[in-house]
Amino acid sequence: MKSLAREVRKNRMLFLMIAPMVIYFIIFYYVPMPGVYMAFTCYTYQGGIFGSPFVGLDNFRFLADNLLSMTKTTILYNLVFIGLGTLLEVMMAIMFSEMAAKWFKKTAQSMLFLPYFISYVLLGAFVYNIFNYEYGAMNSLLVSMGFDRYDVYSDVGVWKYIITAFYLWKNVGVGTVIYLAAITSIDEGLYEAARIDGANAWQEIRYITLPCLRPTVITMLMLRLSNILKGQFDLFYQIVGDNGILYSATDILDTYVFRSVTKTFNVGFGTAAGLYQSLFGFVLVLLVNWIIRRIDTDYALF
Amino acid sequence: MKKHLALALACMLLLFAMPLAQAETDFAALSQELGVDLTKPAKVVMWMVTGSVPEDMDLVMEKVNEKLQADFNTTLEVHHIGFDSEMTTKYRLLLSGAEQVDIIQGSAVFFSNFVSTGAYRALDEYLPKYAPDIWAKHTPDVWQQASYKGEIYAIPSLQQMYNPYGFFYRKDLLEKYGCEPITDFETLEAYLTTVAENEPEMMAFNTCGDEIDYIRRMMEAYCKFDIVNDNQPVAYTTASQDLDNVFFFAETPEFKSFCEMMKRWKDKGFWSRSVLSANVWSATNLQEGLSAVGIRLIGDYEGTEYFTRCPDIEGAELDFFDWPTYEGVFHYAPRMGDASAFPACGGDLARTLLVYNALLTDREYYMLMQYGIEGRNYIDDNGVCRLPEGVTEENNGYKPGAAGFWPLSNSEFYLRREPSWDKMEELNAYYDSIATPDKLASFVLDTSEITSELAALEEVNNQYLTPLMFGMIDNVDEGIANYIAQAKRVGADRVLETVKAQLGEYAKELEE
Amino acid sequence: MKIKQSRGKRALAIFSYVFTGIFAILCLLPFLLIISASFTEEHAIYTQGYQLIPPVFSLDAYRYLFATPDKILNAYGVSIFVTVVGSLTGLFLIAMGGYVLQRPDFKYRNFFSFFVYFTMLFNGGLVPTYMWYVKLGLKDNIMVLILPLLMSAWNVILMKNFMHSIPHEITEAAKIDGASDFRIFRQLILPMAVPGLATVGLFLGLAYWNDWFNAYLYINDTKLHPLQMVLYRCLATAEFYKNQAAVNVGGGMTLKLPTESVKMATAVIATGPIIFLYPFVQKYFVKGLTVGSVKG
Repeated sequence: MKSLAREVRKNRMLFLMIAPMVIYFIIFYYVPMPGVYMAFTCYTYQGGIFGSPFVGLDNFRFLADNLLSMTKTTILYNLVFIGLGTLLEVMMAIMFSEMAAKWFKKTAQSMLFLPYFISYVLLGAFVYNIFNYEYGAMNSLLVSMGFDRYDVYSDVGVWKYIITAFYLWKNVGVGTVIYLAAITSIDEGLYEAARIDGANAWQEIRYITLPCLRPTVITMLMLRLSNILKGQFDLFYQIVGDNGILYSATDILDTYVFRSVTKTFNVGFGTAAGLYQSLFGFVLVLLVNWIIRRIDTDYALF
Repeated sequence: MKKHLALALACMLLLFAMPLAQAETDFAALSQELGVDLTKPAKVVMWMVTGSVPEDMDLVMEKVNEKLQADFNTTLEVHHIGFDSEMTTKYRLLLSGAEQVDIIQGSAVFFSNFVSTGAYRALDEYLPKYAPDIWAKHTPDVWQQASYKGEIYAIPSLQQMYNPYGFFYRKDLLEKYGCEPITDFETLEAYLTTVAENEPEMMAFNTCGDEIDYIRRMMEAYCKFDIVNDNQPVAYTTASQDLDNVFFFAETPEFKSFCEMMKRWKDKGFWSRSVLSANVWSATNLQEGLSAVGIRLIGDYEGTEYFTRCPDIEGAELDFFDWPTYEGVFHYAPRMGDASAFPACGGDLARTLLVYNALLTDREYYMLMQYGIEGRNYIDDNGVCRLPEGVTEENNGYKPGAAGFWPLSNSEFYLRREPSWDKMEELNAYYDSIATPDKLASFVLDTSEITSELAALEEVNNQYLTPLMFGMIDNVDEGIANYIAQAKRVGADRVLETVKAQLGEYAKELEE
Repeated sequence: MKIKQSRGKRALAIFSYVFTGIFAILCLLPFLLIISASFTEEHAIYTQGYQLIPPVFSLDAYRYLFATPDKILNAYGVSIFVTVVGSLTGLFLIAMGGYVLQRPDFKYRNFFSFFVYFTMLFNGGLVPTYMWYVKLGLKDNIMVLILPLLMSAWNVILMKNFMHSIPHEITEAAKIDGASDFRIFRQLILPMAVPGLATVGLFLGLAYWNDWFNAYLYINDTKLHPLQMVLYRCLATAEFYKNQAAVNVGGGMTLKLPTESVKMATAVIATGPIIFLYPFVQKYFVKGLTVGSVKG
């Protein structure tokens, strides 16, 4: 305590500067947090959050059945999303930063944002319009070229590609901005020095841009890994719909929980599932953060 | 002179003051009479569910509150939950106790899920005293439907409703191809086959994955089953409600025959191969000319004529193959289809019930709440509801039913709507003749022991049953066997046993 | 030497333009379909699907949405106010916090980073959060549209990362000259952190503009409804009338509203203004802000 008091006196201004943020997080995030206790109770309205009967791990039972396969599917999808997503975003950021034609840059980048505004509900409608068997755009094209119709909605194997493609389509535009901003923060002097030494475009990228991007890439990776068991609910739910045939390949934890909880109105189940997702992401990030600390403490998240 | 003037003024003031004093309701005396303290003004907060809030809502509530202030020294605040995907989230939050909620929409679906969580207040002691009119108008078996573990937790509406499901189909196409009239599933199949072969522009039965619940009811009609309780998916009994005979529907030969029919229909191309991911309902497709049949329910006395038209299709005419006629069994819709509940996080229950009683049984309040302002939103033409000059269906600021006050319906004050569908008279007469009380209407299932199994069964049904019921599984026998195996794996047997046990007790009570 | 360089650079350039160009067109196309569908007659959408040019032109969707224009205009006002105020305030506070978090001489930076980050992983859930916000008096209060989204762990960590790329020597040098931390932050750091500020500011703006859930939960007063909420309500109403036979509804409402085209029109109306935000922000992604910063 004494050292804390000393530290505060020494760096009073810094603590003052960070105070609004800390107070905000306490009020808006930490105060409601104990509510997660609901994952362990059978919620009654008279008992409220803390007065309801304690049921231990009962609320987690409904997960137990499919837990392993759900976790595996969710993680695999997210790893592909994160991996391919980061790759594409970095690539495009570099390409944009090298471009000369300003009008092209501005227009193309703005267009890349558009999918972000198309809600998943609309996206689901589009996907159906393209792939449905009788009238879909894809099948009409195939037929006009003399091929047979292709029943996409019964083909379990192809959906991982379709979903990944649409995920990238929707999110890459916005992600590129982050890396673009990071690139513009790189000291121009480094590039000048390299050019004087005779480096070509590829070498500039390899030896300056990429290393300077590394902290940003790692930070983003860590942020995304935290949500490895969550997220993308709307993407899967709207595109796949209620098509049970495809579930073995396209069911992630969120959609599974949603469908189970929606009929039973059980609050405890949802909270329990959320807790599982959070714990998983937490442990994963702690692990990765520890590994990164061994390499270079500068890159670690904390 | 001055003295006389002063006296005259004093008398005039007295004369003016007296009527004012009389106009003020004496709340102290009223409180004594009714047994509720009305001397301080208070508000009653009501939440209803609706799809769209009428534009004139504020105007109407102003008028209602004028009267409520005078009668009970109370103001009514009405809010709405939208009928959308976030509905249950909002509902749950309202019950959590963060704010005052006195009355909330408490119909069947909500009731059965929330009553066991202690969200609602028991009404038994309050009803006879503070809602005497409602108490008198409902019969004991209706109160039974609104009860849980012996206590009453909701007030159903005062409107008896029919709720038949069935196929609306294109009569003009039937006549065009000279098909036999549709009286059962065979003639229906013949009609659909003819349409599929001759009308390339539409699919015969253009349904979608979202309609799985309708398909399930179709299965009930076809197999002549009745589901024991909507909160569980496995226990069924016969349509004639022989309560000793409860079984897992998937293990019956009728179900197998149904699945084979659905497979046949899918092979004949009645619906899209991508049906499970489609999301346009068959009734909508019917009206757009993209389907020859559409499943619908008609929850009204009038079966509004609109359902029988296809406004964008030339020459289209619709008729109705209703499933009750096919089954020969018909029950009135459960009274809990529309009901209100009274959350634990409300204010003074006695005052709330006083207000509710008035809203439901007093004609002046009723007409305001349900129909709006006379002359502005509607005209009462001898028991028929008409629109005033210059008001159309579209621009009517207070469309009947739009405010979501369905739990407050009262058939006593009902205004007919025209034009209504002529066949509805015929159907109503028929239903009147065969209607029997629904033995299962007041059976409330206690699911607290089986919630995990139910959640897991949801998943199994989604993955294995839905494709089967849409005919998407090639080998029907295998599909059924697989489904049964999966369902049993997650506890279908346990659910069945629990239901049977509770139903057994319930049946014994019924006989007493 | 020079020839090799320009060939390599040219190949990269051509590849860049083609690749990003194709991607951009793929992003644009569906949006054109949406615009077109919003101007198409409802029945034609069912029978002919989405086309680039409306087969049967109709303004029904927009007529329905703008039936009471005040509603939408008021909603625009609320959304713009909330977005601008929220984004600017949040941006300033996040920048300040992010700067402090990456200061190597701030002893507790790891503790506070973890403190912030932890909230990204664990939260109490909707019911506890709702009860708490209501207790705070946020019901029917415009602050509920601003405060909950003001700072998120994601944005803070991102900002910390951007701040990190500004060399610490600058701060050190200024401190030797006797400047206070806040002054350093305001006069030296902020101008150099422009790309980072633009990025986080953009994300904040997008989050505020797209949010309807907070309004849905906490605001009953329709005058305080932001754009997304109003559009969501309109759409839900139209869907309700379309599917109302699926529901046990007394009274028999008989309206047919152009649901599909309305869905499209709401997307167009909601996206419209925000599309212009990015080109505006784009000018901050300019290289060269940190040239010779250390030397100077």
